Amino acid sequence: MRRPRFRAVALGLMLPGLALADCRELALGLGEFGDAAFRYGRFAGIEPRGGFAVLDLLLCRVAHADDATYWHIQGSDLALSSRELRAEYGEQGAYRLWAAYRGLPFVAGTGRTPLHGAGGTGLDLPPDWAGGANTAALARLLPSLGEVALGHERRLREAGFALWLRRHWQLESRYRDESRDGLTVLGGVVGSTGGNARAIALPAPVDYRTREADVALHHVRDGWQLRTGVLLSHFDNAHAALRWRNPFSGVAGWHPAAGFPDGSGQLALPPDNRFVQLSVALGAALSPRTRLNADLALGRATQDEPFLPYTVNAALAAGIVQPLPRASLDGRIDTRRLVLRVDSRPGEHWRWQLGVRHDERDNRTPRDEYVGIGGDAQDQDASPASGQRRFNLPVGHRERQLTAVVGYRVSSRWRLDAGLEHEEIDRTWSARSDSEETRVRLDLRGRRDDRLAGGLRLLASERGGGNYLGSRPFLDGHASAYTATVPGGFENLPGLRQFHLADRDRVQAAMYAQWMPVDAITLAIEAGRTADDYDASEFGLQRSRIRNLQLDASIAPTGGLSAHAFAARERLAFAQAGRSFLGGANRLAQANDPARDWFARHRDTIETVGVGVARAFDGNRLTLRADLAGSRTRGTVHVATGAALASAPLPDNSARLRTLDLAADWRLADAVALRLRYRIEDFDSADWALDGVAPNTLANVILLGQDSPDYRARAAMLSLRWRF
Amino acid sequence: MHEAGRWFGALAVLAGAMAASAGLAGAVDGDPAVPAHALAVQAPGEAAETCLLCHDSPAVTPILRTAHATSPHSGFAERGCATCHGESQGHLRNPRQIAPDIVFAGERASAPAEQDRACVSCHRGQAGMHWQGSAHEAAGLTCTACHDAHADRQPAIERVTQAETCFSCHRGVRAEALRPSAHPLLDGRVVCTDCHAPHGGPGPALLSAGAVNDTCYRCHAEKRGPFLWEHPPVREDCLTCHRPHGAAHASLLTQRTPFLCQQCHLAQFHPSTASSGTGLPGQTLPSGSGNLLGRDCRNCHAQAHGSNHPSGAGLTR
Repeated sequence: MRRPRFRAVALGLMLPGLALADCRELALGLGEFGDAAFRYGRFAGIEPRGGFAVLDLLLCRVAHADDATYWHIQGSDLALSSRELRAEYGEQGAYRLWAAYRGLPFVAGTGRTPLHGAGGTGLDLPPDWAGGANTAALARLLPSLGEVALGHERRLREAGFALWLRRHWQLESRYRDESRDGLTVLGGVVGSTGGNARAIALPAPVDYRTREADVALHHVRDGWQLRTGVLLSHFDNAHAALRWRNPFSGVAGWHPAAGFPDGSGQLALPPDNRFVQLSVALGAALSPRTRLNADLALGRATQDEPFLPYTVNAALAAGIVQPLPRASLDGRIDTRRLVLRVDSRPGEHWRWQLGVRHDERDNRTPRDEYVGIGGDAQDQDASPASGQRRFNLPVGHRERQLTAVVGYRVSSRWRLDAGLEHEEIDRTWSARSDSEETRVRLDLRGRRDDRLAGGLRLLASERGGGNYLGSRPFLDGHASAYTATVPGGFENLPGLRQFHLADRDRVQAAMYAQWMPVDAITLAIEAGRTADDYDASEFGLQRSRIRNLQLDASIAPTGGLSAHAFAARERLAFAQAGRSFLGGANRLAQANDPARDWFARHRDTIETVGVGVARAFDGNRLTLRADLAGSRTRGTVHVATGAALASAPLPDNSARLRTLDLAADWRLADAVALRLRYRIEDFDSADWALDGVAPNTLANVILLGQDSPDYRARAAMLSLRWRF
Repeated sequence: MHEAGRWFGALAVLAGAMAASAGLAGAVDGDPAVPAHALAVQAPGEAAETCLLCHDSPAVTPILRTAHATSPHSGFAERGCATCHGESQGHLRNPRQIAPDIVFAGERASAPAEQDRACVSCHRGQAGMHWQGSAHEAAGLTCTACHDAHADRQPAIERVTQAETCFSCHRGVRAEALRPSAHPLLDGRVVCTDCHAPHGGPGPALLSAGAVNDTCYRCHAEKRGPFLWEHPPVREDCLTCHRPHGAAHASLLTQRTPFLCQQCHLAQFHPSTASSGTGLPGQTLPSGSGNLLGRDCRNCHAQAHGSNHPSGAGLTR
């Protein structure tokens, strides 16, 4: 397993003040990264191998009694890709202007690919490439592998203002511009049926830009408040498509022009989209004890990116007999959301709340017939009974929820809340067009005194609904002439219940308690269990059990010593069932053969621990701090099969993270302090889907050969803190 | 080693220079964090002066530098501490026996609703709009559970420290953030209020955007669509497949693929195949199952969130 080295010697020269009044702070530093560790620097400013600089800044002027203007500029990690900078200027009670920048790098490791041109929209093979029907026949695969760095970097720029127009009016606006650049992985497949699919993992370009503007007008009165707002969001992708030269050739069932060297594949990258939403929020005191909240939001999401052609291969395109039904989707989803809530305290002991929620995604996208070309590899089959004759299904849904909660203060120590929720969801083009769920909640909270408090939460719910027609998306999405040829008329097993639509009984219980045996010590415990049963599901997810336990302790005795510790354990267990069946003449027989059943039992165990201690000496002149945290994850999958199938055990997967953070702060003078910091992060993982799986391991898929992450990273920093 | 020595030497020289410079700035005795000039120009107001005769402590006086004291709309200039604590005439007459009208902490703390009312009377347009009846309010929290009105730095608001404030109650989220796949909460790059409205809002689980998917689209707008070929559960709820804070499986998935996919897709041939150790690589290459290894289902079905390619009905384009 690859072990990226992370070598950092950080000499921080930090000059931060303490920012309790007007402040002037500056931080400068230098360091060096030996390598890019996967997780340590995943979001924390990973840089290329070599030196880096540290620059922090904080300048501010606070408002004064005789001058309410203020400003501040705050920056951190300014010389790293994870830099953050924020500036604000305003006058208390009059206006506020602000702007911010934030970098957010994401490192996803490296991979190896024979494709050239990563980052662009056309991926090509080396000039000496020779095609073949599978990876064993690709003689130039291993010699041609080159490394690609995966991940992306977000750059977020924000600006906004708030303006108090008159006593009761406030105008607020925010603009956010986020760009994202880098590489991700997408599977590129050529061919689609009859076992002729061949795929290669593609380094796909990420060049996104999301711009969002929000303008809101507030009107605030003693008894009621109103907010009206407009939200605009534009997503733009610099690239519409990713094309790659097909490395395979000579695959049975492909058009001769589909394989190497002439053939290519092309997939669509996320299309540009737009979203606009108008919203009105009202809060009103109906009486001194009763309050109404109403939130109305009407939105529209649109997407009209020009369609790519059915195929990128000219020879196949020449044979198209049924063209695209339209040049672009003209996709549109209207969103309508209304949330009403009335909350009242009719007396010292009673509280009640009624809520109504209506949330609708009305998909108005046109529905048309498309005759696709399977995986850029075959001639268009436009026959009436073609399986490639497909209708898009503009799925939408409407959710309505009623909530009633009654709370009663049993005594000065105990409070009981009981809630009833009923939710109905109507869906379009779904296997289950309507479902409903009723939930009952009980929440008991108690407090013996200031030292001991706790509670118990219980939930029971039952989800059901109308007839489950598992074949409906299949029948609605294909030509009837085709579905009539499919034995049984189904795609998925008729006994399958997709878990988000299936009948489900849920019981959930949680308890928590907090105890302060003495002033300086706090102990807390949380435990919970969630049991989901899908009793009506012959296939699919059948059962889910989640148990969690968390212990916390904190100690803060006098003398400048404080310590904390926590330990958590969560165990997730799932059971699912399936039945393996093939097509052709045996399709129905196998689909009804219990000997072809299989069962998978999953168990994920996640343990997390953390302990920290801090000690101040000499009136906070010297403070020492140590934090140790980590997690251990183990996942097992046990698969059992019927007599007609064969199975073998799967190894466990695991991941282990350990971090140690040591810090010492020594105040040299009133405004100067020295800080020493040392950090270790150790991450090991094992994943049978990745480890030892090389680009040429699979016959029909060229992978990137990524191992699961495994590294140890260290950083040391000596810094000087100064306020001037 | 030689180079490191030079850096440390340079650092020591600069440290000395700064220490000397800092010594010229001076600070208020007893509160080294506050420069003398800061208090000198900040008149606390007559009412506050009365209170400060007894309450002149580092835990109290920072409020004089915050908007609570300096904003012309706060009323502090006229009413001082009484703005939030009430006129407290009894307390002024007999401070040891009678508490102020409104007390925000300790054994003599006022009822939660009374405390909140003091805050919401000014913050009614923002934090106060959805506060009554929100999950946090219903759980008995008061504003001071997260905020310190006297402090000029608010850990619950500042991005670097916000998560620790939330973790003091939501302890399980801290543990989730340490999982192999997690949003960068512990790195401070994503903070709780990027998604949640702690004072209440129209969304479930205190989400600020009103719906789960609308929340996710703020940072993952490329998944908003609409797409020609939709993946229905994706359109309905991202949480069908993802755990938002942290997960044991890659991409914050609730369960491991391909098994997660097979909980909804059991069609003929490979979708219904029993994936097990028989699909692992053997002694000779090539071997192994393309449905199980690498990116498993996503080796071919790359567009799990929807495809806009006319030939992408199988989410492969």
